[in-house]
Amino acid sequence: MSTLPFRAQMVAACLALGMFLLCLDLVRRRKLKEEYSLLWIGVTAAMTVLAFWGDLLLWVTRSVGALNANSIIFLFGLGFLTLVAVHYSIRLSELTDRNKDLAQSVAILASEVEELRKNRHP
Amino acid sequence: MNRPEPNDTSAAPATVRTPDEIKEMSAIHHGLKVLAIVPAHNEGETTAEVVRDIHRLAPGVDVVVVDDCSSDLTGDWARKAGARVLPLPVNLGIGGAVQTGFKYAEDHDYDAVIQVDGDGQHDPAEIGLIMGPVARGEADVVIGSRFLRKTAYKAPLARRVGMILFASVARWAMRQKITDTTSGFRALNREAYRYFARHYPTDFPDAESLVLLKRAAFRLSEVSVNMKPRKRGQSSTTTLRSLYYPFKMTMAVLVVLLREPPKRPAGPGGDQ
Repeated sequence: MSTLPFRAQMVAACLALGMFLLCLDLVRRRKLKEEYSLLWIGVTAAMTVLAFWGDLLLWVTRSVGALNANSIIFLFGLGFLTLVAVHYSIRLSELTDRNKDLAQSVAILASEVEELRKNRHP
Repeated sequence: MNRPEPNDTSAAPATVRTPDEIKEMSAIHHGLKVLAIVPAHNEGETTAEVVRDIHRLAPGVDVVVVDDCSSDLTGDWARKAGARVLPLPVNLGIGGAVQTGFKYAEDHDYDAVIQVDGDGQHDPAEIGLIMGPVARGEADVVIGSRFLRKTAYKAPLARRVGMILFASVARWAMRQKITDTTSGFRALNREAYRYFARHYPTDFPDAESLVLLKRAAFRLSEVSVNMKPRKRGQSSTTTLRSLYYPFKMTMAVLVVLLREPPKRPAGPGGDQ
């Protein structure tokens, strides 16, 4: 038994495939780190599974207590995007910190270089 | 405590110093190798004046100006005045700038550091006064307080509200009465500045850094200093930021209380 009509399944499959290919290409062109590609490839896999395995979708819908399978897809979609955003905030804070440390090192080294130059050509 | 009333406009006379205090002031660096850290952002010639004042009123104290990516010639003026300049390639804010100074001091093995604002608010003649307790080993960090006694200092209204609010939050968090939690005129011994070289809050560092110190069991004390109104330039705390200030400060202080304080480096001179 499937909860999604055949046409919808096909659309989901095409979207998933398209996204998968995009991820591969981005990694190939070194625009995306493998670490992140894994995440997005996981998303495409989950999309495909849910599209074709209707029973799983129904089971999840029932066990959560939702009335409509569609809302479950949106729930997970939103939840996932929220987690991604939080993850990015964490990375951003980390990068800010490293950026600060680097800037500080550069400032100290720049002054050392200036001092060395001054001593070499008095 | 003689905190100035919010609408007290009468300028209080400059503090009269006792002979002991005068003796303390004239000891300047108390025989230690001391670095004055002057963070500056678009202060123009004012920072250079501060540098010259330090050379004149506190001879024997090395000066390093941390130029927080100024768009004017702050760094050049300071260099001309004879200071070593640490030019930050990106703007880090006052906390990040001061921490650069701590790292520099650690590289060059100073016994103690003095923080002096680059806008000319602090009187370098008082360096000896705030160095005293650090030099004698009575405190790890000494804060030059504008409120310990009645002084001529008067802050802008928005800033004053923030300061009073956070003085109380910080006082509660530290279980020690610090009258001036936002003072940028401080002396730190080697252990304290080495700690800050590793762990220093960068956004609104003043009160948060004090709570952090207290949590890591450093000894804090205050001495009374005179504060001049800034010669020129903007305070790092603008109106918009003073709205953000209470929120960020409360949050920061609570978070510092919630987490384990980062470990202090082991022993004097010990490396992590």
